[in-house]
Amino acid sequence: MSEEFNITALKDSMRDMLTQECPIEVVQRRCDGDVSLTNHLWSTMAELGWLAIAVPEELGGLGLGDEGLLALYEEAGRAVAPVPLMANLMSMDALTRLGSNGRFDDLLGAVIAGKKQLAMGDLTNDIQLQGDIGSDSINLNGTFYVPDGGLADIFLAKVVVNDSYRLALIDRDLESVTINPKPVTDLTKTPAVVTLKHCVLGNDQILPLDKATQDALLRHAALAVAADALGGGEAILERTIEYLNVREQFGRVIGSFQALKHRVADHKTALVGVEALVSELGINDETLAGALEAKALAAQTYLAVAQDCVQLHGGIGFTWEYPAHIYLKRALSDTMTFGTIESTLDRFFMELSA
Amino acid sequence: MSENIVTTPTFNPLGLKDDIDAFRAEVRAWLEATLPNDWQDRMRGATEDEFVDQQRWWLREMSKVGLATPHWPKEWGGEDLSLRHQIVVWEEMARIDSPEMVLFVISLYHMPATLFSHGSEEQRKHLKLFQDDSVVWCQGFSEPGAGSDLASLRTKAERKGDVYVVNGQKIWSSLGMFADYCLLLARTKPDAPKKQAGISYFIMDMRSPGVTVRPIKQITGGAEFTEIFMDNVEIPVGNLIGEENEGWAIAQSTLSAERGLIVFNLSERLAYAFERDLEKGRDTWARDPQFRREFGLLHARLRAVRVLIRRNLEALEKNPHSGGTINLYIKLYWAQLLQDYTLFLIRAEGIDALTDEPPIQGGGHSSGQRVVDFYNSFAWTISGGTNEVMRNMIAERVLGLPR
Repeated sequence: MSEEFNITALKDSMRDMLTQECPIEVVQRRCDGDVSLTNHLWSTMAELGWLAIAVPEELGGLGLGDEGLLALYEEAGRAVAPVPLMANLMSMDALTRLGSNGRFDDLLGAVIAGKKQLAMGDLTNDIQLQGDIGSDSINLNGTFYVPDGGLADIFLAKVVVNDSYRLALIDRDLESVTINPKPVTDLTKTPAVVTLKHCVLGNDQILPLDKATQDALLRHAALAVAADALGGGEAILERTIEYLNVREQFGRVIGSFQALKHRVADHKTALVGVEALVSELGINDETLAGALEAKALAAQTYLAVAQDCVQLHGGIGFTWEYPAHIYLKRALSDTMTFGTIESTLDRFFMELSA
Repeated sequence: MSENIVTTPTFNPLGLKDDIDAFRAEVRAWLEATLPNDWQDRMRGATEDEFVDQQRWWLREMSKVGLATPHWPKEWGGEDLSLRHQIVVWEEMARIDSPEMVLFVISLYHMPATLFSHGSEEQRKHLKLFQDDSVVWCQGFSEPGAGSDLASLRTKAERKGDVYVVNGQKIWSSLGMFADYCLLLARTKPDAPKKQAGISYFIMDMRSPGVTVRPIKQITGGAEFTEIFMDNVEIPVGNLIGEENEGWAIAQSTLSAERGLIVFNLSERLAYAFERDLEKGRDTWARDPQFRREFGLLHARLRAVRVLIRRNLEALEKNPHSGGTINLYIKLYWAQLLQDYTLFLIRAEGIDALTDEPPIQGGGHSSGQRVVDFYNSFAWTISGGTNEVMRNMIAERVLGLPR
């Protein structure tokens, strides 16, 4: 892609496509168990090249880096898209960083084309996966949590081997692998707990995972959550403002009541701040600290906005039929994806003091 | 012998403005050479006279190197300094924590914002006068009965021949006791169909007969605010700014001056304060996870507002008459952040932070005196449009909710 590639135009086209292919009704149907439309959505995203957005050009990607990622995550968040975007993009990020000599070219190609899916185990949990070195293999035992993408073909998990960290690529079809879906109320996600019992992997399925790469992946996760929260917060607030403009009680639209106006103005102001912070990540800020503080503030803001937006709707906001709950539930899961708000702030503070 | 003559170094940052790094280095060197390290201590509990002397001294020092009014146009005695250079100056002043130009806020920002666009040729001479004599201006907008609802102001100005005769009362005029001139709003057409339509904008000489100024003791114990009483004060017709009954629109440009530029300076200073405060608390509150986390979120908000402010300045550079919606957000965001942060520090530092000590005059909003900074934060949440007024404006003008 050329330097002048217009990210705003790309973002607009993402919004157009998602408005078409992933209106809130599609998300609602998914929440009711119908996955056909979301499978279609994933193929469309692959066809449009979105899954390759941050993959370097020499590996067949668009090479749009953080800016591209932020645009996609924000728009997907706005649509509360029920697709395992972060699971796949983060995994590809890891493979691009760790794979050399074209080792994962075929796998990356298959993911970009939407033919295979990857998912990343939570990096922030205490390590529960142990590896014992054999002559040319490693024997893995333990469990790990996958925050999204429980249906993936290959899982990437952090393993401790002789006091050092590795990243294992684990095929879901191995007999030694048990996958237990762990449904959460955010039905746009498919988390799972994966258990390995004497899972023997060849050395080529185990990559050294240095601190710099771990930090880069943690930063990717933070950036993803921050942008998702921004998009989701904006979407539910816009929806709520529309409602306040039409719902009448006491002979007037309820949006004319100052008590409600002030809350909405505060939410908008908070989101303007989040937008400012997130926008920096793609351009002026490459630090882990910057991404972590953005994530913490964004997730906290999304939750506060979504919570109050249910309240501002009154009874209808409490129903399954009306989509306010979908944002609230996604906001809640955002506050716990790759670290809680609190653990994120603790890590931020460590980075700040380092 | 000539080798023994000690020469005071002279500085000329403006001579280096083609090289932004050299410009910055020169500003920094000048600040380090000119500003005494202990100016805060000297100003702790300073008398009014000491405060005024300090403010005038610092303005003079800035003038010597052309940095008192560098943002003004050349034809009015400024330097037409680019925004990029101004930012550098503010950044360096924030870094060294130089005195805030409290006494000259209206003179430096509101007066020019009003007169550049709306003043007559004659009135614009005040711009030059300010630079020669460090003239102090104040603002006479609010009244006891006209706060958030400013347009309901009742101070009356009646045209009688070559003068307007003014009667009424103004309130919350910062540093009115030192002011030479006042930017005054008064009603010239009491029966206008819309209350905004009957207001005119004047320059009032504070030495005119009939002007009485009374300081108001504030929450901090200091008395920066004043009430101004006007009893048959005569203002020459030539001191009417713009057209009669069209003062309301002009007042908006005065008010927006406050939101754009001043807040940049303050937010840069607050960023340095965050560093200092964390350093100071490293072995105390920073060991407590709850305070650490709160600090983290405040830090995120500070970064956010700094991005908004910089964006706003860039927009201002491209279009000096923009302002638009982002200013409303900045005003509300900044005010709330400043108040939350100053209160956080009190809670984090505990009882020591409540110590009653005389305020540092000119110490600004992040002086390090915890309670004083907290009390002063209300100046942002209340003045120039209360947070509540900002919320109404955001809801109605930006988000499209009905009145």
